Amino acid sequence: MSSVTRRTFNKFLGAGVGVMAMPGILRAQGRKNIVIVGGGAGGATVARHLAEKAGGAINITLIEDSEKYTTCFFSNLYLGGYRDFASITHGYDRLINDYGIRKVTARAEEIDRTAQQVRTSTGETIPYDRLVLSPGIDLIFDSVPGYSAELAEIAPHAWQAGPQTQLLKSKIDGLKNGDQVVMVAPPNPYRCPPGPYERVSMIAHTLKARGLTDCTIVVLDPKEKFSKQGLFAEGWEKYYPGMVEWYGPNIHGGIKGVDVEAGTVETDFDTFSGALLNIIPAQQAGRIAISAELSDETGFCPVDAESMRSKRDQNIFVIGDASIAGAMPKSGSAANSQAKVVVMHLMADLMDTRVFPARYLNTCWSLVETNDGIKVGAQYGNVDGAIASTSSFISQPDESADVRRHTFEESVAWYDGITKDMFG
Amino acid sequence: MRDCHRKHHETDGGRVLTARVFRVLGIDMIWLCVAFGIFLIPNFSFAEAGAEKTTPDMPLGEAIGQVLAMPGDADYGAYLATECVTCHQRQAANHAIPVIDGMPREYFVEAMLEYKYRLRDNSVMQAIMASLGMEELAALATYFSTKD
Repeated sequence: MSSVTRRTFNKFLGAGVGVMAMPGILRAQGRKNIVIVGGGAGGATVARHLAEKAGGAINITLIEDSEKYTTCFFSNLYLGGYRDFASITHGYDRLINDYGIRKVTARAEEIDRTAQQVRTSTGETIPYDRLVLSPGIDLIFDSVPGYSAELAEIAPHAWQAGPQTQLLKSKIDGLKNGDQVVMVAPPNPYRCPPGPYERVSMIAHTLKARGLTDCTIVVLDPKEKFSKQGLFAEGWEKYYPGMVEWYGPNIHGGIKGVDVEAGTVETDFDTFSGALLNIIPAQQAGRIAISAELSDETGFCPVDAESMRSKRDQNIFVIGDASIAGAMPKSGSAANSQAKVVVMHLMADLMDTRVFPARYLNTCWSLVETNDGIKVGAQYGNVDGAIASTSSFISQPDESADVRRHTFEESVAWYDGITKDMFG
Repeated sequence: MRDCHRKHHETDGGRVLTARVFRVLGIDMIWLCVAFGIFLIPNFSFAEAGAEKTTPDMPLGEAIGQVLAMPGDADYGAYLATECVTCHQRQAANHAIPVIDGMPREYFVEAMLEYKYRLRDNSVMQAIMASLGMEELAALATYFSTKD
């Protein structure tokens, strides 16, 4: 090696000082790049935990289109009047300022898996050593014939939280006595299995609280059964007698389509009319995951049970709703749990730290009426290459009011916890 | 471990029979009966059918002693704890989910094993403990007792 002259050394010193002086442009070269697409329960959790564990040793970029994030979980409680919109909406300030995460407020448009870079809607190309996709779902609008993204402005789905949720709330609050609400529930698999039925409960609650007990809520369900069905049915009978009618495929014979302008949903059995239509269509992985060819024929992304690594690409992890996570439901709780396993593997990949057997968990809490909360959930592990339940629990029909109230209070503590876990 | 500690943490209201038995017989008598293999407490199960019953064969007291004697892998505990922190935050939002950072090792192990033996109420914690073994518990106890 040639000797380093003082002139050469001074040049390097100057270059070094130059690099330190513009950290925003030259994010420390030589450090590994982790790019995360999606700033929700999966993505934000990965970002924060990775930043906490890796310190400044890794460049972490979070690509999320929203300035602030409204959680889908607990959005039903906002519809029910238990929470305000601000309380379920969270900013990224702490992730940016306290954890040193770079947030790119844009959509991820394309992934070049060979060059290992992500192109954003603002024209930036971001390189990655490892990529974490947690893009949530895309709605398949025409899975309900006659429905579309445009018509969601009249008949909201509110299955992606934010303006849709506020729109649905304003329509619920505008109902008059005797009005009928018609919900088209989604087919499996979809995010938040008990979600539609908690929503039914919350709508019924607001109507009842306003004295509009002549209102009815009709649920047209493509599924024969649903999560915590017995518990919801018991609650609806107890608290909202005569207000809720649930029709499974055995009764309605198939959902033919919706006429949003006319306010009707046609089934093989009958046509249902509603002053408010809540249409929740079928779902698939967020577009970015599908266009990157990480999904299979189900429209979701197969992943390794031990690490949530994509089966199609060793450098990419897919978590949350977009992933096929074995027996785990699609939920914020599940995404947050999967994020921890991913962080463990990212640290091992990049910093050679220890790897332990993957553990996952999920809990779904639902509010049926004031202080009457129900839950279902499980622990999971890798069993013969698939994520399977290793223990589980569910609320019981004959529980005391104390237990139900405690279950609700647990959910409040959980919400506070998970949003801190995500956003700092 | 005293009954009053247990009561402060549990507001479930269920398992009235258990609470009554504990009060009547006292903790020592319970352990004695368990040691003789006579289970006075009917095994109420809040988990749905198919959930595993992983109550260890040994008496509760012996299990506690065994776990406390294990050093506990701090790295393993740190990883396992990432699952706990979502609910158990450094500051509790309300009494329903308590703070566990800094909890003394002995108390932590005792409480967690009571969940495993289904002697303490909370179906979420019982399911969690059904899936955790002694090694995991020792690791977690070490981790949480050293967090401030």
